[in-house]
Amino acid sequence: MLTGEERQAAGSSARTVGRRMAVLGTAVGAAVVPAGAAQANIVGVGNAVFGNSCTNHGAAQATGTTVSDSGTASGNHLGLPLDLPRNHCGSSGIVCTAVFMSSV
Amino acid sequence: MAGVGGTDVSLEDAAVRELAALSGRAVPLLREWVGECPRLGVARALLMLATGGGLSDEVLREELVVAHRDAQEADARSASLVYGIFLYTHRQFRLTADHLVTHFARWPGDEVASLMLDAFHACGDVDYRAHGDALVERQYALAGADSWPWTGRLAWTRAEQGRAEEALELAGHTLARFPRAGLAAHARAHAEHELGAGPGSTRFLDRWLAGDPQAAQFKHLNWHAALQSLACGDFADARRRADEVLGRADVGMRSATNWRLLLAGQEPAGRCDLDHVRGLLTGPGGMAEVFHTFNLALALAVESATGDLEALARRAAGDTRPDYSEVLAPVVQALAHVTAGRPRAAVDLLTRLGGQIDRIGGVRVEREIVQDTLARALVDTGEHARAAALLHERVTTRRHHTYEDLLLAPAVSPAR
Repeated sequence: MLTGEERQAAGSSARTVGRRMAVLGTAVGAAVVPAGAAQANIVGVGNAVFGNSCTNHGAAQATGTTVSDSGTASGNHLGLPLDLPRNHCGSSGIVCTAVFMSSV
Repeated sequence: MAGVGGTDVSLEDAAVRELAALSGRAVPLLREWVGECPRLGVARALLMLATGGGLSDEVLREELVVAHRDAQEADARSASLVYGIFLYTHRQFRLTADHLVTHFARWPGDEVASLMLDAFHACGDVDYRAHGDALVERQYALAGADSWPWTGRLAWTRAEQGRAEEALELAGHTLARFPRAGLAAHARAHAEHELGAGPGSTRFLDRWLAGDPQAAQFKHLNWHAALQSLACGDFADARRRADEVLGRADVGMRSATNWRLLLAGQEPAGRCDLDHVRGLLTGPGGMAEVFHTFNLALALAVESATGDLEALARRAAGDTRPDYSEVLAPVVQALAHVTAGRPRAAVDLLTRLGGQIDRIGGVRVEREIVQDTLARALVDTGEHARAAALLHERVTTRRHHTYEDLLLAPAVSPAR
């Protein structure tokens, strides 16, 4: 398990990368992200684990990556990042989202 | 995506369309689709997207491993979609957002992938939010106004950006294309909240929900209707919706309704069980997400549980996450002050927060309750002019604003 300080450091790193991604993403063309730009978008997997708003349980190691070397979307040749934990989310019931959150 | 009407539509198109519409028919159709095409990875993964919240980690993972294996054998887009769904259902929202950037670069305008776009906001990072909004604008431009999933998505985005008139127009266009578009109905509710539509909005929501009582948003849109009832002073209707539609698990929406009623000097609807709220706070999800924790704090405030609020504020202050220590903690402490009859202390805390309040999460409509609390506290300390200035825009732009008028009325007794 990571310490609180390590989590903070990782979260800070993820935010930095996130800002870079946002800038790059705004700069690229509408339809196709050039391979170089896409590679630059690679987020260190694991950093992001600490950057989102939910709590982790279990080890935070990832075996996958979100962008392949060719800049194409991942998941085509790689396996799923099965070491990623499923994060907890809050417990106050339904909140305002734009997505289907059924637990049927 | 399938056209309007539902006739001559394949099972695949119908299932995807109903899922995109947040319809009550989505899950049965997805199950049927998986039953007929068990080796279709995207179908299995979309079923997980819709139902994974109720499954164990192990079952969810097993299903998505199967889906991904099958999707890889199908084509690259399918594999990418399943990969994204894996990340999304594991609530790895930042990774999901990163993945979607690459997915849309390769498959522009992909309506199925649009179902995961909430990941950008769920990250809790303002840069990701902005990037997600820009991505929606680009995909809408590529897909065109005939794509109701994208017009509905842009309507939602505009509403959250505070561009209510544009949101309303886009939602109307979407609903004209496909009347059962759930995201557009939700976006319209948000826009009409900003405009104070009152009974016009509740009539629309009731009519729309009557067409699909199993709709995924049934409870939530009723909560929006309750807010509209508050806006026009129909407090009995707000209480009725909270009591008859929202259940024990809907702590956040019930508390958000009741705290508003109390701030406006009205009788609340049925309360939450305080022990239930305490149990939620100490459970695994209690401090997992800042906005949910805030909602639980509202439940404590409704119960005037000052001691619990102060304990929660201390816990939040000691949290390593900045949004908890820097934003949630003072907000919860302010709620404690209000419940203890110390409005001046609440005013000081909430005034210092200023625009930082956005970091408490949720959406505009949900966060507004903090402004309501500050306005009420200002009035209770005799600072009516400051309270009026705080609510000036709402009172002048919202057609129905009885609720705001009551917040500003000195005669109204303070909440609890």
